[in-house]
Amino acid sequence: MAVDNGETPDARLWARACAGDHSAFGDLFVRHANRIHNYCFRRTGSWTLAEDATSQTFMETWRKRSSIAVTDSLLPWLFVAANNVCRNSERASRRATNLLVKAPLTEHVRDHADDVAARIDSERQMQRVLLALRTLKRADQDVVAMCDWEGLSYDEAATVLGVPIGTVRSRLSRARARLKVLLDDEVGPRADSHVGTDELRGEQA
Amino acid sequence: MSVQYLPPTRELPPEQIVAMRAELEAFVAREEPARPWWRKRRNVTGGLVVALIVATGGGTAAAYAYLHPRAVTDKGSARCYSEAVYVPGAKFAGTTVASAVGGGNNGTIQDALDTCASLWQVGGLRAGAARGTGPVAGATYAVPALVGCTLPGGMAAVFPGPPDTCDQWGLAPESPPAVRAATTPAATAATEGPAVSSP
Repeated sequence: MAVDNGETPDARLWARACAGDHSAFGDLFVRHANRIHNYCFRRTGSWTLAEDATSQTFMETWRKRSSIAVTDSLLPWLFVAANNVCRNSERASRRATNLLVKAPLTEHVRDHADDVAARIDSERQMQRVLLALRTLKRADQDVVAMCDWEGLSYDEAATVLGVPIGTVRSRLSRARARLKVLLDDEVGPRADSHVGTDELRGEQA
Repeated sequence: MSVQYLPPTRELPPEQIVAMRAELEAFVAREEPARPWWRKRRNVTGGLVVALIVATGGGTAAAYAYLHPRAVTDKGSARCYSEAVYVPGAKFAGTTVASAVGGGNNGTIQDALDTCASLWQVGGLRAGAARGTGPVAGATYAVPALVGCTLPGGMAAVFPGPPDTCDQWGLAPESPPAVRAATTPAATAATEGPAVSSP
């Protein structure tokens, strides 16, 4: 069994996994699990949903392997799978909302109080952002999440979304402008409430 | 990547990652191995061809049709793989070789198997290496068993592995067949002499 030392490119691990080396796919999971976990949290606003969605994202990616051509990083493909998984889990969670609200918080009792408080705070903060995000078209939401939140290049996003690069640019531009207004309205014009893409411009210019 | 209106990221506990990985690998093991569509189709075709062989009394022509060997049509370059893995569209482990001639033009590679074998022999290709390396002066290396396949675009691809490697990856075997047994450095030196680079 090969050990992932972090130097083997994703494309090689992916090729090995497709050739029957299951541990190679495990290596890819370990490499990207935290990234996908946080991405799923940002799409669902719930750490609990994000944990389930993380595993499902990798399973979904594996099921679709015959249509995935990994030439560099697997991450963009994982984000696309996560978009679909999170939408489905979000729909399911809405149906079960009443039950969840009434259920005892047995999982949380075992955690440290500070950790629980931090989880809840971050969930509340994320829910506010999602409230604004979900006023955008679904395609625009995906572009914001993948490019602004996760740092995919326009080129990478265009490839995995199957749209021209110009479409990615225009969607992102439109979404940023809309989000800026919505988030300023929501939290007030704070110094940290800008869309926060300055650091991206350098790498995507 | 941090966007300031987003809450801070969190990490999954290591023990949870280990458990999730085990669950995922078990899931992958349960799933049927990925088979390219052309392989599935060929298996169906294979059944038909076997029926044809039986119906017609068999013959070399029918067997030939089943194996689908293809001649290399793009001889401008060839791929020397360092491992027996072929995934369409993905980066491959190994190197592409071309035969340089005068005037900055590329020549043709008449024998991809021999060219790749030479590369292995001088240490320019190591098993599993992501890309080719510079040859090691004065050293001679073992050459693994090699087999030549023809890529969909008509270029030769030489893999380390047994003769059925092409079929395993849904590739046509090279025509005429290009198969070479493994050789140790001593055997290589005795049977073939020093490695010769392509002109």
